[in-house]
Amino acid sequence: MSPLKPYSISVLELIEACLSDDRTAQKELFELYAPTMMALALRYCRDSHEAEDVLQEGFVKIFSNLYQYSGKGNFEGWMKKIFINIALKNKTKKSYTNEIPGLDPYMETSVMPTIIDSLSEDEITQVIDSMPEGYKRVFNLYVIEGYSHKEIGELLKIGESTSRSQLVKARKMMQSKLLNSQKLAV
Amino acid sequence: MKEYEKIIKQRLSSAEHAYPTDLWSKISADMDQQKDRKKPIFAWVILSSLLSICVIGVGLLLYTSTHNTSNNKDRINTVAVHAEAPLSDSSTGGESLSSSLVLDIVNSVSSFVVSEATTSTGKTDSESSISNSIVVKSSSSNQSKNVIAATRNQNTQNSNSIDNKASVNYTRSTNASQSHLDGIPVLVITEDEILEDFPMLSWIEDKGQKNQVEARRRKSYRTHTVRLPKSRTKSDIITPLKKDVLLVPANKNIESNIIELILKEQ
Repeated sequence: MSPLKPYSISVLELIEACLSDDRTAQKELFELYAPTMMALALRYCRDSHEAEDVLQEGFVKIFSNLYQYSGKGNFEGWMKKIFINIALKNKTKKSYTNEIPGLDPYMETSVMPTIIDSLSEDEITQVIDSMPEGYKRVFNLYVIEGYSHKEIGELLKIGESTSRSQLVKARKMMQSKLLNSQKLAV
Repeated sequence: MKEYEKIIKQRLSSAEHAYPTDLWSKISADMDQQKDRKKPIFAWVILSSLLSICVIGVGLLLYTSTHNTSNNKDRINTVAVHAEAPLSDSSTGGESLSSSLVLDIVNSVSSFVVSEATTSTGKTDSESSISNSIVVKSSSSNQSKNVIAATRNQNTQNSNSIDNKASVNYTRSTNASQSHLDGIPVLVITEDEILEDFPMLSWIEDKGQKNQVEARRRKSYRTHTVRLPKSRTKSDIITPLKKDVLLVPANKNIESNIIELILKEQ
């Protein structure tokens, strides 16, 4: 992980410099947000190569559309939306038809926080990543990004009810996987 | 949202991950490529806009010039010849002068316009209307260019009241309607002047004058040749042409001739 440097200027100043095509400022902005966006990309992508592609495409898109950012909202949130869109678009290009989820029986959720605390971010990401594509997307969008089912439906071009049912299944699978990982660790 | 989900969100939303060190160079190269791709687009946008401006400009110029030309044509066409002569050579009052003449003018340079010609002799009410139409056919390289019919509506009456000397009234009007032409003050030009200025009417009887006019005609109108129909006698053709009809070639020379003629008279 690349360490974050102390930045002498604010994000808005950095954005202004980027808008005037300052390559140094652009690099600075990239270094500031690349680790977070890489983590995000990894949650939506199958592997790190795919995540790197998303990161590259995302930053190129961000720099070329930076003028669209009004400066009012959260810049990181704006960036995340772009990355999520790119990641999901890339996903739809590839098919994951051969993935059939094997659901484990539903388990009691009381033990879950303890299990999660014992896992690192990468391990949690791996657990999420091991889920089928549809579950993973809905889970990520709903639980981590905080999207509503309506927004998820529009984004993934699925019905709200489909999003809900996917989330229910994703939750079951997540719990099952977390418990399994706990068992394996013990 | 369940408790464990909140924990997952908290931990993952702030999560960071290492990225390849060479990623920035790739992004930088991508942006450079994108810039290069944008340049020709901008160039094309600018070029196409300039081109469209040029096209519009040329179109406007053409439109304006065409409009002016058509206006000039209209102006020429409305130069009417009012002959107050009663056509005493070949006709008398009340006699029908209806004759349709076809002149083939092989013209490699210009085409001819026969202006609307109106002969009005009637100072009193008309008793009979004589229509005399003359068709001048102009051809260049086997193609007919302009065929203009000169129609004469003549109200012949009271020929005694008209001088023997042929006089022609030239009327300029922006309105082609003949009713508007009637009664407008006009310039009076003698027949000799017409013959001088319009050497197409070169089939005059007098040999000396004919040669003179012919020479002038050749000088001014180089290749114009007039072929008279065999079925017509000279007098049949000459008389109405000489006195009633002004042959106006559709080029600037004749237009300027007319203007000169008018100015000269003024």
